[in-house]
Amino acid sequence: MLSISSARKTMNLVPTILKAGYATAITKTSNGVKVAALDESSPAASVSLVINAGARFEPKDKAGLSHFVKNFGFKNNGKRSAFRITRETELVGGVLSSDLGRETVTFTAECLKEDVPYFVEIFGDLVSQTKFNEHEFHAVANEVAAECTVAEASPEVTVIEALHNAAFRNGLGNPIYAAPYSDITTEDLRKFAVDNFVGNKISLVATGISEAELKSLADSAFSNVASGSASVTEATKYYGGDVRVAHNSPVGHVAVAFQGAAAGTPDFYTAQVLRSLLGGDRFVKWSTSGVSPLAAAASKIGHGAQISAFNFGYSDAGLFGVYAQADHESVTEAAKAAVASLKAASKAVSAEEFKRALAQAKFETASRFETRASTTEILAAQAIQGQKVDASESLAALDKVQAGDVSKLAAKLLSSKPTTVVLGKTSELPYGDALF
Amino acid sequence: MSGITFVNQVKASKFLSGMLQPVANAFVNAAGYRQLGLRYDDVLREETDIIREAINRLPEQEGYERVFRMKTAFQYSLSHTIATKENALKPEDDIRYLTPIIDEVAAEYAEKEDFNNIKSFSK
Repeated sequence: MLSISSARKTMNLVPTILKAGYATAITKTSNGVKVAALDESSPAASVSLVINAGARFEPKDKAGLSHFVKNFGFKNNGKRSAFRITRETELVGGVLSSDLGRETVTFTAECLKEDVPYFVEIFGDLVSQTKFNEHEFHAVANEVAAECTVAEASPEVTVIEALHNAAFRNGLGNPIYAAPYSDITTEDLRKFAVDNFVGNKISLVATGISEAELKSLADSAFSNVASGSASVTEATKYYGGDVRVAHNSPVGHVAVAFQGAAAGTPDFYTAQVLRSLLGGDRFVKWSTSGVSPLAAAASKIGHGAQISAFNFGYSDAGLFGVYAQADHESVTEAAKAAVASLKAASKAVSAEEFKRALAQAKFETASRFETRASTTEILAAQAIQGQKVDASESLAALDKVQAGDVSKLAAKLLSSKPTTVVLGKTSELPYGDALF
Repeated sequence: MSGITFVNQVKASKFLSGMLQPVANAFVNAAGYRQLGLRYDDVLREETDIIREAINRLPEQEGYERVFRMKTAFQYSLSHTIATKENALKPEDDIRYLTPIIDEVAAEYAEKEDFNNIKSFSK
């Protein structure tokens, strides 16, 4: 079955990478394709083609191009038709999917171990021989429009998109979803593919196969891909600001974000601990209150209020913040409580709280190495950074974090200009500066 | 689309093409579509799934030009006239603009048919 999921990555993009220290180098083919594999004992395998061509790399006048590129995966190419790819995948019992992030486009095949060579070949053809036919483009454009409509209807996605846009303006601030004014042609797609589907921007990551085996498959499948040059983009600059989105939502949404840390840096790990410290997640089903400050604040407000902390890490920037959802009458109170918790953390963090937060952050990191999908995500992020870090090394990095670092980081976050997004009946929602 | 064809052998041989080309030209003249300003691909039977799909895939401009040629042909037909010699379609303009797309679509249909009748065995 050909399933296309794009919403998954927007809400939870927390790659676990370590820039300095433990990392080992990533294997490369002669034309620069990075290869990383984790040979685990499960009977199924997955292979992902990760291209450093996410929304961040779109030219200014071609907003939404990456979204079209994502949906053009597995279409007619020089060797096989889209129909043949779908049917053959069904026959071998595989699942194909594509996924768009701010920095990468990912095409994934999940399959039985013995079919990995077939899918690596498909990926090689996708990169070098996709035809970008006009008649397929019409179907793709309809899919893109449908996905944009679904995204628009989701307040969470809208808030996260607006947060990134206000925080980074362009680059990482580019929306993942195509805009209604996106003016894309097959010619643009072909040009984008020539510029971006090149060895130095491609990583091939897999689970359930050895790295040596994957490399030899990649060597033959990607042999006629130009090596090209790695992505060059301006360094991300953090701006901050206020965005107010009018939306017919029964619940008010308020998100406040600050300049966070790039994925893999020591500060990023500290931010992970701070995120667990503030909390807001429910660990016991149907529980109405937790021990974390945000969970306690939410249960005090009641009426289904939800407050949580988030930490997005990218290759050269990050966003850390709190997100409150509640009735319009109580959402201001909820957002104020969230900001107050962050302020309290910046003053002092008690030893007990820190111990709990560290344990939760470590569990979360470790459990992300457990499932195929999240392991692939981790490997992909690591391949792009060029360094490999396994679960125990990530945990060791978390162990280095001290309680003092956490409060210092919270103070540092608060010193950056806040990015505030409110969504709902804007006349009833607070302005950013009223929350502090 | 068709049965046995020797077109490539005929084209390759000077003797055969020299002999058959005049016959072919006479046949095209007798068919008379060029005198109505039409191309060969305009008079292909449209009422099949394959050709309808191929016409859908024509680039916009090609599609408009096809419709325009047809309107012109209807006009000639209604007024019981044919184009003057200089207005008739020139042999070098009789381009097979649709045939490559038809072949492509036909190949896709054949592939689909093959897969629908596939028998799969476990390895």
